[in-house]
Amino acid sequence: MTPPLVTLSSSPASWSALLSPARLAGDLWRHRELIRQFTVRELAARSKGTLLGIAWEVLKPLATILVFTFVFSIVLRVRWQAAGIESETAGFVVMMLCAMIPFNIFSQAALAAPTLVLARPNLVKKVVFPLEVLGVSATLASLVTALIFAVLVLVLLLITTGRIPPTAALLPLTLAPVVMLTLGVTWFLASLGVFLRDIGQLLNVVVSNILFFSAPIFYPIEAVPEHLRFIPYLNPLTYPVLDARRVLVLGEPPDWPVLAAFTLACAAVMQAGYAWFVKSKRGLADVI
Amino acid sequence: MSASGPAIAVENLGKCYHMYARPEDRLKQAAFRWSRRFYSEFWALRGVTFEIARGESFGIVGRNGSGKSTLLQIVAGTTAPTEGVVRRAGRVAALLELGSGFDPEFTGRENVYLNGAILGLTRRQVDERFDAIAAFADIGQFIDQPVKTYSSGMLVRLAFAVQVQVEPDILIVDEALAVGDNLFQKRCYQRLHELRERGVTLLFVSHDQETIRTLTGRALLLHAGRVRAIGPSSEVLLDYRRLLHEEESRWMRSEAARAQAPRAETHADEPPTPDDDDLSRRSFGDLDAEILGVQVLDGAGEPCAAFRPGETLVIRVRYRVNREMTGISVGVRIRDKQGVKIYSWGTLNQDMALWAGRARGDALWDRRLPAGHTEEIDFVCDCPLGANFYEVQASVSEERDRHYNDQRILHWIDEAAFFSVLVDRHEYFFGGVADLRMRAHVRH
Repeated sequence: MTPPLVTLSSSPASWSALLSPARLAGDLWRHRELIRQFTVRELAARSKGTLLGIAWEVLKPLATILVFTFVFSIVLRVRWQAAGIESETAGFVVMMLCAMIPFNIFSQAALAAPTLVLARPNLVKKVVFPLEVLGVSATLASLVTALIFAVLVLVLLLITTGRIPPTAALLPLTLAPVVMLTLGVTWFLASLGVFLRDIGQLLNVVVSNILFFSAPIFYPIEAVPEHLRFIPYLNPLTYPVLDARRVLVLGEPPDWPVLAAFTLACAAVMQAGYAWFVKSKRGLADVI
Repeated sequence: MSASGPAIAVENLGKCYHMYARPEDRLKQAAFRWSRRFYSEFWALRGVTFEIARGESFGIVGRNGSGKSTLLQIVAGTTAPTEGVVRRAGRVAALLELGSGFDPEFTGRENVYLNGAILGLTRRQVDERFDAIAAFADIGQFIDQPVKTYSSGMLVRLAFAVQVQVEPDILIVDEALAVGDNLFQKRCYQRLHELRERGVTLLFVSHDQETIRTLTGRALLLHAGRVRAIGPSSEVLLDYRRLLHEEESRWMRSEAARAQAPRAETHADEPPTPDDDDLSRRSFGDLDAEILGVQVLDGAGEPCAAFRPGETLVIRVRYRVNREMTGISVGVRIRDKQGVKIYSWGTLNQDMALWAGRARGDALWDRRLPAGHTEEIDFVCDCPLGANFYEVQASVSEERDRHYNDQRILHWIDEAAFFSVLVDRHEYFFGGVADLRMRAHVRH
């Protein structure tokens, strides 16, 4: 076996090399064991030392669902009113919670991103570590949490409507682009957060307020006045939110052409985020 | 680079740190790349070139801040160079800093798997090696405790155990081994020797000259980010010691000058210092008396550089007093290649024995020497030293009392002369650093 040859120099990989999907895929495959370990560790770290341990991962989303159900369908009795759909009060909660699945995938990872590298100086300076793994494991950990949430939402759906539409099987297709988008943005923010420490503060406002409320999560998109309806569509999370609702509650297939375009766009974001991260990570050790 | 090429080739390597006052200045710099400068430059390394052959053990020495760690980090791949290239062939394991690859919240066992993954091992490969790692680290039940509860010794044991068990082609070791108890250090060095014999390329940084000398064949001396010397370890270490001496005696001379400054007037008629540049770099002192020359001679009075145990060894010190003086003592000190002081002795030692009634003669200390008086003193012994390369230091001092309690160094020279001792294995042989001239008696 010939030993691997490594050349370390001042000229980093070129943009064109980093923008190759094959390189990205190879990188992920090569580090699969690290990605697995860091994802598990990310999830385990949250409940490390707690009495209930991993059970918290189910208890937390369950609490959210129960609270939302209590507030919206028992106290406020909100109804979902959109063209052709007039739901029972329980329907509102289901409509809203479905929409939160894609949003949660994105928000948890993105909010953690700016400190992802910053909080691990050892991995940057003291060991030879493929830092891009951190972005992947953060995204996957976020995905796992969101999937647990999704399962609970499906259970609620079954309880309140008595059925889960067959189109629910298409949910992974609608979530896949969200994962790619999240990964790309996480990579971008993880490196930017090192240079510009204000990012973390700014991000809270952007994700928790602007992105959350400008996506049609709490309201049907039809509720937005016609001349302002472009606003939700500027939010990339709007597309998976609408599709998740279609496949889970309405029993409709996703909006295929839009889904295809959105998937392509998200893949591009992921690739760009990767290129940016790898390109900039060489400077990280000098700043941290 | 072919399969038979060097394991590590470093070409014209340089690392420039841009010192930014604030992190965001770095971003500004990226934006206004050419128009403005938001940083100040600091070259931690510059123009470093060397090659390490496969299976070679290579050491890096230098003072703190000389760029050793930066060089190691660049070779290991944690830091990018500013200029130049490093080429490496093979799997690299690096012990850069104590416990640096560990997550303190997780157990030793979990961290072993994490480290294995960082080094490119699959889970199964770590499974296979786990018992060997645990046995080598030898930390018992602690392996299932969080790493944050470990002592520094335990940390380095576990770290070292993991790194050597991944069977690297190149092992990079920073001074991490300095912690840990003696037994563990011994096992580490034994392990390093084994790895070396198995053909692993070793790159080693240490302050400890003895370690560098025993573990490495060649070494590199870094000073202020540049290569000061490169070659066989023993020679580079000599350069390193010379460098340390230079700095030490420069400091001592400045101290001496400061102490002397108020008295400068009274010595207005003092002759100018005759030091040549080279000598002045190796010497210091008040110069009321001066060493003019030091020679190593054999029993016949001929200059000689190599001795066998038992042969007559003469160290001749020629000196001059620059003003009328009493209480003079002339001394010599012998150090081996590793810098260990073997012996120091001076004329006052002889005088003290005399005063104690253990010897006869006139004490040199009592003499009144006129200004300008020049003489030679021979220090004679039957060479009792083991095979090594020795350095002679010489000094002349004013002793204000008879027991070395109040000394003023007038002139001190490092590396005043050198000699070696050779042992012929077939004629007369002993092990160790000194010949105790033992005899064996058979008792019936």
